[in-house]
Amino acid sequence: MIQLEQLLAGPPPKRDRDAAFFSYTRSICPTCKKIIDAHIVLRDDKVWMQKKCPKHGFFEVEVSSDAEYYTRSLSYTKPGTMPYRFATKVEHGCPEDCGLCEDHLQHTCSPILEINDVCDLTCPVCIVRNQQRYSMSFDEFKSAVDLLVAAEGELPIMLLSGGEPTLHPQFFEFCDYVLRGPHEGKIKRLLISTHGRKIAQNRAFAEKFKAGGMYASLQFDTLRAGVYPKTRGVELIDMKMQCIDVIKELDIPTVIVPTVSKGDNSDELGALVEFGLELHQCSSIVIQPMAHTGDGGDGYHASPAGHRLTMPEVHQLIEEQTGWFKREYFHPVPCSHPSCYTATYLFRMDDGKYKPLPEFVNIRQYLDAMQNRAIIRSDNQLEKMILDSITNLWSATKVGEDSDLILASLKSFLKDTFNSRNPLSAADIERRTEARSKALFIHNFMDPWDLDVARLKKCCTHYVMPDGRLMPGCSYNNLYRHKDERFFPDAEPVSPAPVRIENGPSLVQITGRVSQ
Amino acid sequence: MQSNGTSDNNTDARLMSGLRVLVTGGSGGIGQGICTVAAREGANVAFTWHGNKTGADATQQLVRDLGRECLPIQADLREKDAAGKVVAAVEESWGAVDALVNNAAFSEAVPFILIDDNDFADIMELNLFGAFRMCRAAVRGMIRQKYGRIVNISSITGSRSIAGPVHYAASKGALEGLTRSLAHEVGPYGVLVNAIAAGIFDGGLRSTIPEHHQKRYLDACALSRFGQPAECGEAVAWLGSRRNTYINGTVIFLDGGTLA
Repeated sequence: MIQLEQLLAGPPPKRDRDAAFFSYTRSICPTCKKIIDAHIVLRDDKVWMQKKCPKHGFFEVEVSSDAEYYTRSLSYTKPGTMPYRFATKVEHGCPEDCGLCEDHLQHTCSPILEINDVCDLTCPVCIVRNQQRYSMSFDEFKSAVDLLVAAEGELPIMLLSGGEPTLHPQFFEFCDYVLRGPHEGKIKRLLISTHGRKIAQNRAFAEKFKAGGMYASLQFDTLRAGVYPKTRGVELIDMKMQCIDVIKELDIPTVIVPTVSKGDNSDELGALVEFGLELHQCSSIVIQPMAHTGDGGDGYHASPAGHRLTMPEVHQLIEEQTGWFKREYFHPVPCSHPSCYTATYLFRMDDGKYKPLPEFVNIRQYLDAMQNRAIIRSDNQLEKMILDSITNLWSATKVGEDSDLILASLKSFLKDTFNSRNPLSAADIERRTEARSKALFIHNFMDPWDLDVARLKKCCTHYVMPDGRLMPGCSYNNLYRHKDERFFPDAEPVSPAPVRIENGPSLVQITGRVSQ
Repeated sequence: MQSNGTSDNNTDARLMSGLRVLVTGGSGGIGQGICTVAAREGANVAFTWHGNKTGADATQQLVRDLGRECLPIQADLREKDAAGKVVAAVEESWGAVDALVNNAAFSEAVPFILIDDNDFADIMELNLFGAFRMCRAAVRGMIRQKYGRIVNISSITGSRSIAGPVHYAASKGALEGLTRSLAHEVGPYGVLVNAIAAGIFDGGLRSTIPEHHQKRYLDACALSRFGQPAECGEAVAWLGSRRNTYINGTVIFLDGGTLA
């Protein structure tokens, strides 16, 4: 009888999938790290990554809280810049050829060189997994820097990291080699990723740091007590504020780097931005939504669900919490994938307040001027953008107080900077420009949950290996770090091994395990 | 000093042997190069300086190391009576000024629409009026002795359409007009007036030129480099010497072939 009813009713209606397909990519299984297919899909005005591991099942993770922003952000693209040389062949496909392989779509804008894995903190949010045993030799360091310069020529910045790099016994020798060694002038700024304890508590060290001309890239997650025990494992607020006092006193150029975890310190985004803008020594603020990899994956949240912050969410929170910093001011940095970096550059007006450039310049010119670079610099495109904005503001039929202030501020900057009564060197001009402007970056690292090979291919933040390879940051963190024999000498080798280009960068067999 | 500018030491073949040279803006950049070459070529060198005491001391040392007398004079040539005082100081010390080099100048990279009356007046006051007043003060003695050489340091922005601040370009264009007309007027009295349109030189005003403009200049320059202050000094030394007897009212481009 039932069968008859079913026959009469016909087959059940076909169901739609729960989300609209947007694009195909590759990712990894968060459990076994095997490379698997992934779909980027749209649902409920959000963007999700869906993937299925044959062994560990289905995974879904939110990759953007704003589908409209996500799809729009992909529309602005420019050709990447090639490095002078690649290190590996295209053999196994991305991400198993790192790097950089000949298929990689961007050169190195932000190199990171880890000089140790020794640290006196055990931060739950740390994206590495310090084994407290590795300390880079000077020969390894020289090799890494030499090969980096050979691959890139000139670099706007370089970051020394770890571990805690200031604990390396040859820390200052390393800095000297970068800034005053055979490549003097090639690497414009040397940033030191640090918790700040040595700057805060060791006066002689801080003075030497200042004299050396390095920038402190200061991990700075909060302005209140109670957060550091969660993010860094111990209360650090007093030490951090002490560090800021020393930075002010010695005038140490600084990048403020908050790692932000939803529900822990995401309510402080606005305050952290305002803090960075008010700190004279702060040249930029780099907000890093927490990536659940390394110790951050295993030691903090059992599952990242509910703690993830996507790029548009960060923009939205900053707008809500500052009340004036509109989310529209943020634009993807064209050198990387739009989902990896967004930025706003701000200019200090004569009244001391900062105004985001997108508020008074043409956005298309702005994006072109920011193309393939991490740092604002004077060039034809930037000059055209500024001149056009001056001309447009000046010729507008309605000139408001704001326009007057912007024009007066730009003029006073030009008169101060390019003036023969007070001639400045090129380096001084750069410093003066930097003192008059700030950058706000959101840098969204990927973890095994949202790793997207399409993003990896355009990565411009690269770890520098002593053997000359340059590893896209999230590729290395998720697929190679735990097999790097510098840190894990007993680990299984990477398989399949990336294949070197013959006559590529010469090898110092440290991270070895690369077939020729 | 004889009225035709012949040397106080006839056996000395140097270009400016025995001449009394006054250079404005001698404490740095091109000005320092002019002073040094003039001294090397046998001139006693007076120069003005304004804010750069360290540079002025260095120039003085360079001139004295070359065995010549040196007279540094601190002066703000934007002040109306400064030129008269400067020339009087040199005449009082050495009797006359045989060669005047108007080098002191100011520039700032400000786009046209942000230049206001004060900016324009400020740059004209030094670059044009300062040079005008120096010429007027020095020419009296030159006419009296029937010998004089004036070299005005202009710029390639003075007569060519290239990137440069409008008020600065206007001041240099006007200086070139002054040069040509004055040459006509005082030439008959033995005073020859010329200008050098300088390209980009190390030191001095180069710092007011954004780096990418400097690069563009280098790309266009046949010699692919910036000028050195002493190279301007060499040209000035010849124009300001007694060997120059027929070049008058001319603007010489000194830019390594950039606009050739």
